[in-house]
Amino acid sequence: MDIDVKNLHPLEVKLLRHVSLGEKITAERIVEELGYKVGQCNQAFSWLAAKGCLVETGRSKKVLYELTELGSAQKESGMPVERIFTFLKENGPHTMPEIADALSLEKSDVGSAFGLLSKEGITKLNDERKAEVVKEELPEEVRVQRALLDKTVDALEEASLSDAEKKAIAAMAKKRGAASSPFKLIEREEVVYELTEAGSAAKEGVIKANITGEEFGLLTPEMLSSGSWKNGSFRPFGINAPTSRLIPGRHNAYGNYLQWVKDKLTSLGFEEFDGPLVENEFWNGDALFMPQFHSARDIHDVYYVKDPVHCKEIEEPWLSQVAKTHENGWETGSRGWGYTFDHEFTRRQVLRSQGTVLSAHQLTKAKIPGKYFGVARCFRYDQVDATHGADFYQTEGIVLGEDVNLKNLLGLLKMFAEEIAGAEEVKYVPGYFPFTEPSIEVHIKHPVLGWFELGGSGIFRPEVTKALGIDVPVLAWGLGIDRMALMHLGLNDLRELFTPNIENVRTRRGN
Amino acid sequence: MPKIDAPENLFFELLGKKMTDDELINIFPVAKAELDGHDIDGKVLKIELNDTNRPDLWSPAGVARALTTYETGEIPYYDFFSTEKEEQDSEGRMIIDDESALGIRDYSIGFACRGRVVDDDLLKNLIQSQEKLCFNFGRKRKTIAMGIYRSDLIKYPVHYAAVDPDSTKFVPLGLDEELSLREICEKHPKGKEYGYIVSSFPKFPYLYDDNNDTLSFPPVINSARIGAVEVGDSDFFVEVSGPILDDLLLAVNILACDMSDMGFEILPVKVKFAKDTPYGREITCPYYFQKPQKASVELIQKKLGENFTPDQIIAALAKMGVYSICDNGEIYIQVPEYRNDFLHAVDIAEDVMIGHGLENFEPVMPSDFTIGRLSPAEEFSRKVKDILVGLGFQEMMYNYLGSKKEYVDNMHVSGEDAVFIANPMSENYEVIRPSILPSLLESESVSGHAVYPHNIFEVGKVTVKDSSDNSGTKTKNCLGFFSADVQKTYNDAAAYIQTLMYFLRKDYTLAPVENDPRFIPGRAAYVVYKDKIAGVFGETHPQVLESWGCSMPSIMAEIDIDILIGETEEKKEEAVPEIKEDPELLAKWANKVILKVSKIVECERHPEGEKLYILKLDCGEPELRTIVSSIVPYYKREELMNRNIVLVSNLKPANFRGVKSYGMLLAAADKDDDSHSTCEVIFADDFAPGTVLEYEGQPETEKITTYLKADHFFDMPMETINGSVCINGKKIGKDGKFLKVEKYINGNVG
Repeated sequence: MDIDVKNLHPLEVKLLRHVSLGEKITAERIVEELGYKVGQCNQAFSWLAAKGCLVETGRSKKVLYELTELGSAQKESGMPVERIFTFLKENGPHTMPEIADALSLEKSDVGSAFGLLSKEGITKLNDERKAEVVKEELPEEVRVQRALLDKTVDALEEASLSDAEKKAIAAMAKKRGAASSPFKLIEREEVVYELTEAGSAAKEGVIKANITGEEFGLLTPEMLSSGSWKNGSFRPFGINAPTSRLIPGRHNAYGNYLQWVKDKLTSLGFEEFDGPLVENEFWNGDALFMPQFHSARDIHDVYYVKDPVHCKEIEEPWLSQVAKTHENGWETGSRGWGYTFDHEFTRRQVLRSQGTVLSAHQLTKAKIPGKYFGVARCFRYDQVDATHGADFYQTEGIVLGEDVNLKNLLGLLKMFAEEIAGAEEVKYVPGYFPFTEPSIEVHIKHPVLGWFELGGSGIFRPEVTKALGIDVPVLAWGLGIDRMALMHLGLNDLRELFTPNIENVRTRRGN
Repeated sequence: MPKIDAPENLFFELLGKKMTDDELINIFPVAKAELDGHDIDGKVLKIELNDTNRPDLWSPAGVARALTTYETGEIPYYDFFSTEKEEQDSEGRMIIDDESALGIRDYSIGFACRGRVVDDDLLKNLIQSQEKLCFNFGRKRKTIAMGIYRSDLIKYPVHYAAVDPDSTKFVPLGLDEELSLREICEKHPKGKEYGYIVSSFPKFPYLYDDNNDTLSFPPVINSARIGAVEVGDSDFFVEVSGPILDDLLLAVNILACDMSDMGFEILPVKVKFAKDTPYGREITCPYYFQKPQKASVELIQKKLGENFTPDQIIAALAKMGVYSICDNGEIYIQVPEYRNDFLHAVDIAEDVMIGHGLENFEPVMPSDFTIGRLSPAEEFSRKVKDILVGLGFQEMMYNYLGSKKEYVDNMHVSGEDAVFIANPMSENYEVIRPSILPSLLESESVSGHAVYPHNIFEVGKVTVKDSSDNSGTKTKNCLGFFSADVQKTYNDAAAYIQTLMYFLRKDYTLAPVENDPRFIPGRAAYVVYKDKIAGVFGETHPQVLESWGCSMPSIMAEIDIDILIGETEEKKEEAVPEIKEDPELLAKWANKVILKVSKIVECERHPEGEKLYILKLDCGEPELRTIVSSIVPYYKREELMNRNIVLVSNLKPANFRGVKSYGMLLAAADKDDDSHSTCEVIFADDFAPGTVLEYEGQPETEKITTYLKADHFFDMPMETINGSVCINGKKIGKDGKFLKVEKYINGNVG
């Protein structure tokens, strides 16, 4: 395993520099020689062993007496027996409760300590039943205990103790009545390591790179103000170390794609339009010269609004003109559909089922020449599955101009195919839409998706445009960009475009 | 879109040759057809037809006819059609329509044929034609029902009448007991499916022969004897019935042509109608009923952008099976017997396009210069989104349809403002969302596994009821945001709102929320912008979190960004300010100003002035008047020609770069326009030239004979108020009609 020595922690660096091949490496030794804490030692061992720099060659069990919290306190401020002895010496005879009060000790602790002292003939109760010191020296046992406390840093190894010390420590650990004892008996395994060849190589690397383990970690404001950063070098960071996960605020990837499409279209001179989700049969179908008996206007193809069932009115003169156009062609040059237009049906409210509705609305307020587009949410009476959504976006638009014609329509489609879809080849075939004549479908060869239908288009029928007050030709187009959006996002299920799953959306990327 | 099965053997027999799939895919577009594939054993082609106005293409014979004609350019000829002038011999075959059927289903017509023994493929094909014509074209049999019968069992004439549904009985196809017509509606599968079309009438349609043998109960079911066509039969009677004669004639013609193409001899049948028709009381079917149609060569050239010669057009149409001639710049077409889809000249143009071959048109970019622009809502939304993203929020996008449970019940709201669907497909999609908040909560409810905090938002649409709108509903652009984490409080939400509104430059105030079950009481506030409640935010009520199954505290907010955009909303009528009547001003006006409706009869550019038109006006006076007007930047010549405008006709004549102007036309401008960049000429097309206009209630005054100085005129400022042109708040017009403007409905006039 190749080791990037820059990634080594200072504890590892210092340890590596300190040891050589063939030596026994133990925690005890490193604590003693490098001043590591036992914990630091163990960290360094496990990191280096994981990197293959150290190998375990053996292990042995050790019994240790570890200083407890109580032990640390007693080491600092004295054992109860010591404190009572000193108190009585300095303050003269006192009763037991007085002693307990003055030294904040439990009565039982005072009792047992006094018992010990009295047994050794150091204290006794006087006639007033007060304790007093009669001998100037503490017993041997207590003095050994004090010495033990004094020499313990973290723990004492049992093997290193004399018999007297063992006895004393046992006595300290044995005080059943006391809340706890100053020493705790623990067993610890000591592992013996040796440097491996890889470890040796790492050591060479560390020395060669002149890494000492004494480098600066964090640059602190204090270092800057004192200038101390000038007195050393900085520990290098491993550039390939794993990073932590960030959760940024982000735009939606599908939304970004739609924005991109909108930006493309505006850059091509199109102005955006929009409209409400609730429409009526008039704009959703009648204005588009779809006869009211058209199969696509069936109850199984459009969502009806429950309440209000009808809108209040349809704007004039559009209503009269469209109605007459359906019936007999009005002034559009058409013979019409030849049926009686239903003025109630036309007010029935539906959820917008096609984006072309917005194009029809726009005709009543369009400029000539003019280019318009919309990305419209539409609703279709379909079973929801991977290729059908209950609601979805359609991208639609119109081009109005005195002289626009079929060849311009083909030009426009070619531009969309190249600019928006990145098509390699474009093919046009005759299509059919109730509101355009002629009608064209554009198929493109996409570098990834292959041949597919990019969209439908045509020149609006005069029955549509004239009835809505427009006397110039109007090119109308719609692009099916869902497929490209899915590819762009690396998805294959339309439902994913509108997923509520936060994690999926957070991690989704566009192309 | 109709889809048909075409058995390969039959289809290639009709085509007169075999074709590979690739060849078919290449040529199918001329019939707006797509090859959908083959059936499992590969012997049947699946074809999808895209043109819902071309029922003649919904059969293998029809598709084959279109392809053959396209390839050869030879128009098929059928000799069995009767016309207005020439009647074919019906050899005693006749249908008599009885007047009892009038108002129920007015007509029954038909023809007979013989000469080919029907095999399995052909029988299936006949049933398919029947289905496609009756279902797709005949609106599920409402306007066309069709029956095929064994001609050899029929004793002509056939009678079509409406009869008593209870006493009339026969054995319907598919059953072996005799049922009354009403029983058939109730018991027979076809009766259950189609009986409703006639069951509301007191009498039902009934077809029987001269022996009183039943043919059928149209539009429901054939009889089990004469109406039972089987493999091995070769003599048929084909009948269609319905309320629209042209549709029936077309259906008969299509079927006759198809059967003729398949090798049958077509035998005409005479029909006696029960009432007058555009074709008389009696015709012989198949009957050529179509009228010639025309389109000018110029229209075809303009539509298609190609300078076709008449010969090129005629040749292209021939490939589409359409015979045509050119006379004096007009192309006249003879509509094929089996088509009736030429509604307008543009339909002819499309056939020329297909016949010429779409690949032969060169794509050309439109040359008009136009300015691209995002909608105000989109532009503003992008600002909002950027701020939210900067605050660490993830943008979400949601479906707009959902269930009552999600949008109403889980939110603990009444749902009275929600717009429901009358015909939902499932209860999962039965209501348009009235708020973004449930969408955000749904996210939270399905994303418990995702690392917290959850900071999400959406800018999208919601729809609520709004009785002030024509639709009774209103679609609004809204921002919703939601943040879930331990220790999220009202204060966090308030800080987000504060930051958002600061960067949007929207000053707002907060108002306490009294009763909103979605928020913890005392921990929610309304955002008030320009005296309107623009939004609400606060800590999500635990009862809402519980309903959604969410276990993390959260805050949420919803802001109506249309209210924040405000100024870019569509121009609405403003409350009319109280205008104090100024009798002195009105008197001065009445005595000094003459407004005369004048028609622009000439319009040319001033040679010396870039913005100036020289207009010649018909003011109802013996001579035309000349005025100079600086409206070139706003109007094209053709937008002005022959329009009536309003002339200040006694304005003192003035020179404009060498041309004397005898008056000034009135135009409206935006109220805040100080730079003369807006202009709407006040047109008066509702008034005759020469009409002198006055304000509403103007008293009789002496005839004005003096010139009016321009600065005196401008001392009496006119304006537009909610679309009307006014002086001192009084509308200007004549005889109850008033001048109107469309664009600057609350602006200045000058």
